[in-house]
Amino acid sequence: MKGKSLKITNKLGLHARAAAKIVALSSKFKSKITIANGKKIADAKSIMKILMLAAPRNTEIKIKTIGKDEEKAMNALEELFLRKFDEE
Amino acid sequence: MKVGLLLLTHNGIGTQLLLAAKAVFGNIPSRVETLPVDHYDQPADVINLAKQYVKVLNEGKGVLILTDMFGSTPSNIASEFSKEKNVRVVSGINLSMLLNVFNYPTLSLNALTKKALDGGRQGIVNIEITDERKKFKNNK
Repeated sequence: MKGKSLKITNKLGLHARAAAKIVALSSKFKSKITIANGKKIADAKSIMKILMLAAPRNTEIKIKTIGKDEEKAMNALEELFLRKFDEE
Repeated sequence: MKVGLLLLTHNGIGTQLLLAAKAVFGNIPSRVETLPVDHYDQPADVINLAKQYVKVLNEGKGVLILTDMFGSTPSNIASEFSKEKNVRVVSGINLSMLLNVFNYPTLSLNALTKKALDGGRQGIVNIEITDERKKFKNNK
């Protein structure tokens, strides 16, 4: 299992388009991937679950990946967050 | 092969929701058509049109019809199809329902129907008493 804390840095936070990008990327991996905002934990392959995290800018979220390609999945997701979902 | 989707709604509701969903996902992974119903449309005509849409949309995995308000004409027309074996009808369409359906394009008709129901319900939230404000209020 891989785990990492990341800060949301894009202006709009985890909004619908960003969530859709997370889903599209996560779905490429076989690992189980979760994103947590405090006690709220979401399946990273479900757009509605991600939106329910209601995470605005500067929120600290935790990503966990579990599975054979957990490292690749974690790296890819981290990159997406660092790129601010290609929005800015 | 994927489940086909038909948005059978009052006027442009389906079209506008589809546009918003396209803005979110970029491109839509499912086969989807919209059928707007105006107050001057004859229900019999719409049913005939809907039949043709359902036929075209069904690639073998069935068709999911999403409609808006239960009990209204579009929903009543859609309900005509609920008797068919390979068609499911869900009312109360909203953007979260549509996004959740597009999230799982490869599911079976029954599983996708459940996703539509779940997504639609999840999107209805009393924002004031959920969210971080609850904590904030309680701390006061």
